[in-house]
Amino acid sequence: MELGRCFDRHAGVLVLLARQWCGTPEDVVQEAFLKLSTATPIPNNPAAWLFRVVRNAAISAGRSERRRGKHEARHSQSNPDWFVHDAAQRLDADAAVTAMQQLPLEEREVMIAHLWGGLTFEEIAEVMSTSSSSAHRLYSKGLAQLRVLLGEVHAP
Amino acid sequence: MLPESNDDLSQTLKQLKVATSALDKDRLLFEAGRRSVQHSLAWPMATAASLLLAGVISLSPLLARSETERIVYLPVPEAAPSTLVQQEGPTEDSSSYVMLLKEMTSINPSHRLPDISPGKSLPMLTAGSIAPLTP
Repeated sequence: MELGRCFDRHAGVLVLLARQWCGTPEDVVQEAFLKLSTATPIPNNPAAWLFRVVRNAAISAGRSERRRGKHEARHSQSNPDWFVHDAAQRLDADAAVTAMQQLPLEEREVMIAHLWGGLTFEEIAEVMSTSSSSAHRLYSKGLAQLRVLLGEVHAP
Repeated sequence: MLPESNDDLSQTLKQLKVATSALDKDRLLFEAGRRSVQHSLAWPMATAASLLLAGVISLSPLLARSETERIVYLPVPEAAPSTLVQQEGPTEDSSSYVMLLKEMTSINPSHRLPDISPGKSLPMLTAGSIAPLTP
């Protein structure tokens, strides 16, 4: 896949994914794309490859930041603009972000990769080094929890 | 209004558009191209090989000229004196003149051989000096 098209398709979601762990998601994603450009052989599934590389690099960067005394929660809450604000949308972007931030990290990760990254549960399982059934279970659990959280927001 | 089923909720969530990243696409592509060129050793290797080949070719005439001819003097073995003495005088068999006289004598035994001792000049053979060969 051409690098430019791959960037257009996945860069935003990858930054969102990396933001769950570290405070410098753009650096992590940029480095992942540069790795992809020089990767030999070219990965069969560049999207899954990028998600795995970004995930690992973001976790590593988050650990380094914590060692330097920064707090993980600060990163995920420092930039609330995860989604584009659009009045025509049925769901309020800020409410969705607020609800998602309350989900466990693993559930959030699976939801981002599946809903906005377009990865299948098999690909997510490969990225997270788990089984596809576990990935599906995490997704269902996260979705149910999100429904509850959003219900609280939308409750009169 | 919150969607009723989980599938509807999934579809609703999917409709949320992820915010564009602060990444500069052009800069990223430029950097990717720069790195891919930097790691390629093909052209430097080809240049080095060409320079090496050109050097070898230019030096080959100089190397060929350095091969000079050498004259080797070998000691000549001294000839045995006896051999030289034997070769000084005319041998009996080697003189065609003597052979001719002997042949004539065998044909005509009455013919007298001339004196061919050293120091005397050989007689001239003429038509009259030899007896006619009669059976």
